[in-house]
Amino acid sequence: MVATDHAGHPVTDLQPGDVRVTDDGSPESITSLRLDQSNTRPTVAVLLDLMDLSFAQRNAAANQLRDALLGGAEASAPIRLYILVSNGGLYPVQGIGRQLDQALQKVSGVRPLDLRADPVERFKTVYSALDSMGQEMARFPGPKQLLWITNGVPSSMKMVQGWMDLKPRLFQLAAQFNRGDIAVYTLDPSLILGTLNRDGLEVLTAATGCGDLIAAISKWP
Amino acid sequence: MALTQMGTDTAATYLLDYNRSQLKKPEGAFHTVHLTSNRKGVRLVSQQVYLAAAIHAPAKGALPPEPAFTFVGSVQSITGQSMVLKLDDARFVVIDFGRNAKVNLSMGDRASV
Repeated sequence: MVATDHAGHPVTDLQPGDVRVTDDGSPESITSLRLDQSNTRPTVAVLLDLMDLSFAQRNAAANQLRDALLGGAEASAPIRLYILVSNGGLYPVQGIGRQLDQALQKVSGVRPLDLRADPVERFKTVYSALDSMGQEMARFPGPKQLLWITNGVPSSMKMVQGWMDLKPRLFQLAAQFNRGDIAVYTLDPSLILGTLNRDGLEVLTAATGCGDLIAAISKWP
Repeated sequence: MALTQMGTDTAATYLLDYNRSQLKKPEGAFHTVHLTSNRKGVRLVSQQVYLAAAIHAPAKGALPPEPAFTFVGSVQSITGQSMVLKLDDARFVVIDFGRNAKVNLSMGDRASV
């Protein structure tokens, strides 16, 4: 649990009486509340999601990411970088300089996802890829933070029979991340107007305890 | 911006325990948790879901599980099958390894035991 004031500054003197907790809607009694002073730095990973970016947009996104990371963005720990391609494959990248270019070159044979493709299959591919990313990160000890640069996933889908609610699947995914002590943040590359789908991202980030951090990558320092 | 915000989130993190009054759910089903603060101006964000875990009755005659701790810190000294770990909160812990344990640590290394 993270506590801040309205200005976003940390609040470090909360007492059990200051907090109310419900579990499946039932009020529960708090047995202890203490500030985590372990100072364990989280493992930070960035997932550059290329699933529905064109080749030109991939390079633009990579350049912005590189500029942001090399340009003084202060991370609390060394950053691990992964690329997610449209077949659901995850590619670890060893560095953000030439290594990122080489990795993009390697995955250039994987075509972007056809946006007209079956949305259910598309959701399943994203779900499976995120699940794999969670398993990959769970290997590292201590708390983890994942920054997912993505155009998003839907929280519901219109089918012939009516609307399909995808929130339960997203909650299930979030619960898996929480079990691995992985907080999920998302960042909007803002490269394809009209395709951004924030609904599912809001569900996922809120459920893993990250509030609503969705911003344009261009706003990075 | 995003990475700076991620750093802020680690600056005021609390650990909270509570007694769950709900009936046990089947293993793998998720619970939803909601936290609010009655102190004015305080905003809380927390994990909102967790998976129900199976609780198995211990086998008859089985020993109770030993308490589990994780110590994180830097290696202060290491000799033979024993080392002194300086924890992040400045306490020291002596760790004895098993006779056949292969340990590849040096003074100053970070270790999680």
